[in-house]
Amino acid sequence: MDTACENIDVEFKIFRYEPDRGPLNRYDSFTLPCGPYDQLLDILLRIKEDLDPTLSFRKSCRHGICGSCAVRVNNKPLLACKTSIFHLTQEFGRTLTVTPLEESRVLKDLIVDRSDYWEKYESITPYAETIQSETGAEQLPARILPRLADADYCIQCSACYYACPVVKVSPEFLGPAAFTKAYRFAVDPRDYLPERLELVNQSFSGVWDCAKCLQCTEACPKGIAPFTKITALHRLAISEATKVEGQRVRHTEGFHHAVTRVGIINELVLAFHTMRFRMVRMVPRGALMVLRRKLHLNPLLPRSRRVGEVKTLFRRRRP
Amino acid sequence: MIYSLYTGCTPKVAEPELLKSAAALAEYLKWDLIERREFTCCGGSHLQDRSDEETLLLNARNLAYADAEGMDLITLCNTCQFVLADYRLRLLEDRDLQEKVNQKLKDINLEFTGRSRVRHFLYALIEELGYEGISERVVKPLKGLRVASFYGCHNIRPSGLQSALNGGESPWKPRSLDRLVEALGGEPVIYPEANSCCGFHISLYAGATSAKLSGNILRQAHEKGADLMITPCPLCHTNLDAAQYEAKRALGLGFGFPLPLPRFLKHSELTPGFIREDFSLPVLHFEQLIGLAWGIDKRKLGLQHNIVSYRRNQKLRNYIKT
Repeated sequence: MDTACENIDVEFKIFRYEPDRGPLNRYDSFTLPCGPYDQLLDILLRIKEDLDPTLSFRKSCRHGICGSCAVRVNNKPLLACKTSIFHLTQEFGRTLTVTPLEESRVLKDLIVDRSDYWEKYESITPYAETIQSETGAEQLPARILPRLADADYCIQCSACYYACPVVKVSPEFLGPAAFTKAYRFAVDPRDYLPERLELVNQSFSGVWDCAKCLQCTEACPKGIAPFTKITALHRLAISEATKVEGQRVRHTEGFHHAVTRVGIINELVLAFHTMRFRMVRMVPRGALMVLRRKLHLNPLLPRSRRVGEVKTLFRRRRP
Repeated sequence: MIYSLYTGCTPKVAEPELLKSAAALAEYLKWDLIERREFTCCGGSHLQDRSDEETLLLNARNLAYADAEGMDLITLCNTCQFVLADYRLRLLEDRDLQEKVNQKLKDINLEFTGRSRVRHFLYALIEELGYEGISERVVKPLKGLRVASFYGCHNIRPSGLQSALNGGESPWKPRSLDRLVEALGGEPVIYPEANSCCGFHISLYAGATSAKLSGNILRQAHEKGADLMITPCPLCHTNLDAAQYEAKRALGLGFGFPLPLPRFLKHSELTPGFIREDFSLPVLHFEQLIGLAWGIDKRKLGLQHNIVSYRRNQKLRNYIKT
C-alpha cells in the first residue's frame, strides 16, 4: 500500500459530446494528481469546478444508492462515486478513458438517454399486484426473504443493461435489470400476476434469448448476479408450464435427453431436437462440416461409459 | 505432468482439430492427459435452465470421477470450465449440500472430495510453462502475423469464480492470449470486442441475434487488420469459423454462402460493395497456433478440419508453407 499513500498523476480521457456544437464526439484529456482515497466522482467534480465547467455528468447521492453516476472506464461499467482511482490504476494503468454507458444514446458528455431502459423496465410491472386475502394480512414468509434479498438490492443504474451484448443487436430484448425485477416479483408469494412471467418468456424479448455471456453479472456494482435470476426464470417457466416457443424449451430438454441416454451431446441430434424441420437452415454449414470430416454422423456416437449412473442419480429417492 | 482431461462434447463431435492439436501439444510437452470415458456432458449451461439439482448431480459425478483419479482436471472448453468450476465451488462452500450430494453419489460408489482443481488448458499451460517457457520452445516465430485474440465469455467471467483459476485475468481487459501471441513472436491486434460474446448458446433458436454478435467481432478484428483469430473455446470456434458465412450475411456481406468467390470479382470496380468488402478470417484454436510456432506438423494439428481454411489469408498461408 506504499504507493497508495502518495499522490499519483493520472490522465483522464473524457468523452465529450454536445448536441448543438460539432465535432460530434471527441475526447478531452485532463491530467490530475489523485490521492489514495479519491473516487472517480471526486475527480469528475474537481474537473468541473477547476478546469472545465461545461463537463456534464449525472450524480446525486454519492453513496452508491441512487444509481445515477454509472459510467464506463476503459469499457468497464461502474459507479463513479464508489470506484477508487487507486484500484482503477491497478487494473488499467495511469490512463483512464471515461465514456458514457452507451455512446449511441448520449445526450451530453457522460449523460445518457435511458428512456429505452425505463420503458422495458416498466413493461414488466415492477411492483407487486396483490389480491386482498380474507384476513387482510399480506405477509412475506421469512423463508422467502433470502431469495428476494439480493434481487431487491438493484439500484436501477442500468450498468448491466448497457453492458448486455444482446440488447445492442436485438433492440426488443428486455435486458438483465428487467428480468431481475421480474424474478423478484415472480417468487414473491404476495404477488399475483401471471402475465409478467408470460411476458419475460416471449421469444426475442424474453429470457430465452439471453446468450449467457455473464456481462451483466460482471457489470453489476451491487453484486446481484442477474444471470442467476435469468436461469431461475427459465426454471420457473418450465415448472409452471408457462407458454414458451417450442424451440427454446426443446433445446433445454435436448440436453436432458442426451445426458440421460448417451451422456455426450451430439450436435446433430441436439440440433434436430431443437430445430426440427428448421434444420434446413443448417444444411450448408453441415455439408461443409462433413466435407472437412468435422462432424460425427453416427447419431449414437460418441457415448460415455456407465450412463445408467446418471439415471440412478436423477431418480428421486422416496422419502 | 499428468492431468485428467475433460474434453466436453463439442470437441468430440464437431471440433476434431481441437482434440488433435491439444493431444499434439501434450505429446510435445510429454504431458499425460488421461480421459475417463465415464465423463458426461456438463449440461452446457442449458441443463441448469431446466433443473438445478440435476445439473448439480451430473457435475458432482464428473468431479467425483476426477477426484477418484486424484489429478487436476483440464478442460478444453470455456463453458465446461465455467459449469464444472461453478458447481465445484458451490459444493465446497456448502458443507450440507456436499453431504447430501455425497449421499446420492454413494448409490453409484463415488464420492466428491474436491481434491482436483478444474482449470482450462490455456491457463494450465501458462501457469506451468510461463510465457518464457512457451517462447523458448518456438522454432518458427509468427513474424509479422497480426493475431486477434477472442477470449470467450466463460473463461473470464464471472471473475469472482474464474480469477482464481486464470491468473487473475481482468474480465474487461484480458491479456493472456495477447501475451501468448507476443511470446510466439506475433503481433497482437487490440480490438474492443475481444472480451465480448459470440452468441453460440442461442445460435440454434435465435440464429439472427447470434450471427450479429459474432459478425461484429469478426468485422472489428478484420478492420483492425487481423490476419487470423484465435480462441480458447470450441463453442466460440464453431460460431466464428463454421458459421462465419452466416455472421457475414448478418452484416450484409457476401452471398451468405460458405464458398469463396473468385478473386477477380473482389478487385473489380463494377462489383457491388457487399462482395468487394467481403472478407474471410481464418479462426484457429490457440492450441493450433502454439503448435505451428513450435514446429508441430500441420496435419497433426488438424488444420485440414478448419472450415475457413488458413489458405484464405496470404500471410498465414506463406507462414505455414515455409
